[in-house]
Amino acid sequence: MRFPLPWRRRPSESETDIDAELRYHLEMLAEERDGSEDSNAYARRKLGNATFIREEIYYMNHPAWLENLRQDLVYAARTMRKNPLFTTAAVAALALGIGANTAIFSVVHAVLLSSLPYSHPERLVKVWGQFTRDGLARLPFSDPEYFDLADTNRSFDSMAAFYTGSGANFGSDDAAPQRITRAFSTAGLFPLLGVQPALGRTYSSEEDQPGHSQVAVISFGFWRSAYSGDPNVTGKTIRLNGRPFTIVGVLPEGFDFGGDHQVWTPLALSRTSPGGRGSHAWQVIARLKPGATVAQAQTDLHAFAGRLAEQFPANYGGDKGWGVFAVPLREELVAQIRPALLILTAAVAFVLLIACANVANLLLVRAAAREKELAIRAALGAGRWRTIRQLLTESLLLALVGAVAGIALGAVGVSAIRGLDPNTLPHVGNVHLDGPVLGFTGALAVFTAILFGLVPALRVARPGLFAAMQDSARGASGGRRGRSLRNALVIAEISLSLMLVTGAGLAIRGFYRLLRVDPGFRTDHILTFRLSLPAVTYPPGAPVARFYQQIQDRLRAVPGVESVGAISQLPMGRNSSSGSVFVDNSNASVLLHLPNTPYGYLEADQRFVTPGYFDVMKTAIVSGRAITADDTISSPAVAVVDARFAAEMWPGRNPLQQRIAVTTVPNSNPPRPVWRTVVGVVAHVHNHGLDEDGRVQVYFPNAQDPFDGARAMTFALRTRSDAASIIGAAREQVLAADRSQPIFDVNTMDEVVAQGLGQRRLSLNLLVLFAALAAVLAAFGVYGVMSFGVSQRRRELGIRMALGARPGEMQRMVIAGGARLAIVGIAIGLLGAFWLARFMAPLLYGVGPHDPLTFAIVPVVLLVVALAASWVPALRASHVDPVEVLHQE
Amino acid sequence: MKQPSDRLDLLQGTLEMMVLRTLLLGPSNGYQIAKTIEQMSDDVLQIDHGSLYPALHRLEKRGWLAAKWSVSDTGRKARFYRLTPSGRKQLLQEQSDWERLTGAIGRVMRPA
Repeated sequence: MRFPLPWRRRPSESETDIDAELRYHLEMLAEERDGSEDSNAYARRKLGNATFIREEIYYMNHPAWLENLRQDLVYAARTMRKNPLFTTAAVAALALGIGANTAIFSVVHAVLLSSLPYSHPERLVKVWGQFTRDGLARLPFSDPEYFDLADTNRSFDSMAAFYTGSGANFGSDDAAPQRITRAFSTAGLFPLLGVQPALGRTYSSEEDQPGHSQVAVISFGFWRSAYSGDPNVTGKTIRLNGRPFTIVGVLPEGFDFGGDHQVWTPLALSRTSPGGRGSHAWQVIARLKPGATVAQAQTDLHAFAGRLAEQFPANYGGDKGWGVFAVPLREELVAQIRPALLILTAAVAFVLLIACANVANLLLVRAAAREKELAIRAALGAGRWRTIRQLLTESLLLALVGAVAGIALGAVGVSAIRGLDPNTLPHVGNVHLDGPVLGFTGALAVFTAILFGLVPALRVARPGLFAAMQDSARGASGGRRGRSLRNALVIAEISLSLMLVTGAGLAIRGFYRLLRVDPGFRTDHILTFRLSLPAVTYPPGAPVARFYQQIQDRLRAVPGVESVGAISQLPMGRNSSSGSVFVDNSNASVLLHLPNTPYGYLEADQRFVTPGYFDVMKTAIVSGRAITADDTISSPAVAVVDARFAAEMWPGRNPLQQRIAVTTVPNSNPPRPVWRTVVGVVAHVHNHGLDEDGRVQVYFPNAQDPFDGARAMTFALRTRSDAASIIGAAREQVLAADRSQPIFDVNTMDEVVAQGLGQRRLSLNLLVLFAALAAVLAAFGVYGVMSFGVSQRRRELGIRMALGARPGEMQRMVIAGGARLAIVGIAIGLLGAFWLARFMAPLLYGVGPHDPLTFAIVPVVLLVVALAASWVPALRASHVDPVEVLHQE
Repeated sequence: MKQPSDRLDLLQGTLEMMVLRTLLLGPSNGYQIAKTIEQMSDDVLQIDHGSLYPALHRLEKRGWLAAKWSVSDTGRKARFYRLTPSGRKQLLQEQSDWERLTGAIGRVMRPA
């Protein structure tokens, strides 16, 4: 291997120039004494020492430090080439450490550090309401609340409301219908974010009015895919849910505010006829005035909430825990992922430290072998600092080569990360191996070089080299002084890897706890997909229920389908809704009360289901009956509640035939509920994920939908074989019923549950990967130190053998040495792990950070690893041939 | 490695000034420059030929001189130096500094 360094050799060009110039001068001088015998001597005397002149000119162009660096690098490169095994081991350890750090930092940089792609993003905040009493910690706003907020705020330059996560049926007569993602916003959103459209304009405030809002802006990606990037797209008509909208503009590439939405249309809130105060739907974003702080905004919003509670005590008063607050937009986006990223950052830092300890140990071992060489260099006049500098240059070169290999590993990691779902990792598209990341890696390489290189360099370059020469000459105890240092490094490696493995162990335990949670339904052999009926073709009421009845009949006839049902919002799916439920005949303490009403109410998840839904999901019917085909628009209004609802509302009583209500008689004062009879109780379902218990739940027949809440339904099909194999047939049946109806959100139920676990699974996998890396590196550390110990003690071992020690005893001796290091490392590591475990809490479910089982198993695992790593050197020790060893002396 | 660059500042500076001055007459090579200085000073000043070349290279590095290889009167290839415009400016500056300095010293040393 050759290193084509630019200054590998002294530049020859100018050297010959100077030589030629001096030669000319000498010749001219010699000619002055032409003919005389001493003419040449005269010339040389007159000019002086040509070598000095040459060097003076050379150093004029090449400073001394650069020359020293050149020498050190050449020497370091040669040393690396001469020890391929050492170099490979060190570079591999560093590459793993640096590669892991590079990959994780690229995520940290993209997600936590880089600024949001909006103008002055630090001034953007999300505004939320809350009713803490009902467990509603982050509540969007209703129309009147938004207007009140926008009219009275003092801390904000501007505010905008928006609604995301919607969709629309999009299609033409000649292509298959398509479901596209859609969001709504007030006209102010785009100027507020400082976003300029790539084409055309965004909608105006005139267009953001009821009756004038048939305009749309489309995303860059949708413009490309649906309109082939047509530059004349503005002015064209797009049909959403059967209604025409005029495209006025195209949003810039990469715009992903609130998620990846293909179409934005005006929210068109009405001041003259706003909806009720209680229908909280609009998310609100605001831009702080220049110089205003979030704290000032909080004070303002607090006062605003107070005024509202005074004005409308029925809505906000009493002990509801009403409040309004602001969250910086960045915080809003990354708060959830931050703990996991910080834990992973710490994990890779540990891996790197262990790698550094490994390399430092390798350097110490090699330094023992090089003591003689370094002593000779010192004897020849190399200063202490010169030697340290030279050793550090070797470390630096090692770290740089490790960094290059690490960047290659990091690139593999980054490309794997970029393949992740944006729901698992926000901003995943922004994860790059870019300048800042490479800069970080470079800095890391220099830092690691100092970390693993400095101690060996200082130790080796100490005074007292005479002793070193004597030591090495005797060949016996070259490592005695270094042994305690090497042992300390190995102990550090073991304790660091124990902390990491403990973290991974806790995460594994938590994850498997989570997987064992009973969600209240079976997840296997279920295909789900969603349908949403446009109001243009299906007016509210009977037509919607009739269509779903028809679809359900068709799907049931598909071969391989066992049973079919549908629900307005699938558990653990993208949509969820809750609302107030009046409860009759209960004095449960969690109930809230309106003035002048004898019955209380509470917030509950509300779902509409078709007959057969619970059967498909195998959600247990605890008592009574499920929703059946006999529950129609004309039959008595009924409801099914979950077991928790029943137990909390009517403890010790029969919940069947009790009454609940979700609507009130119009214009009744005090509000008079429209009662429904509870006919069944089903098992509690985890609607929001395995790790969330969630609220109490009520179900209604979709045929008795009082507020058009069953217009969009998710079908669930229980299949006899692979659920995914039914997709094509299911789509055909829907299109056969209505060829303009796209099916979307097509997933097996297993996939739906897995998506909810994505982030946990990702951090778990990475943590386990890094812990395994740490353990392997630590094992190599133990192996290296024990091997070196054995090779250093060959003479002693040979004598012991000659004196009659059995191979088994020798093995035990070496393994006991390894065990001693491991036990000290494990003890220190346990203390560290015990202290650090608290930070793991955000990643854990159902298991305490000081889980006894984890803390019992992990040390045993590491002890076994350490003993296994000592095994090979122990075998070697027992094979020392006493005759051969003593012969060498 | 010690750099023998700073022996006797005054001499060095003076040598450089005189080199610039000789090149005002036209391009010249190192040997000729040494001879010219010696002749112009009526052989009073003996140039240290050894320090001439570092001085020439230093002046070239600062951009006051430009050098190129060409054939000398004697038919040999030699490295010829010439003044650059900035070298000319530098010479004027040093010349006036020098005159102020010697004038001042002269006034001090004038017999009372």
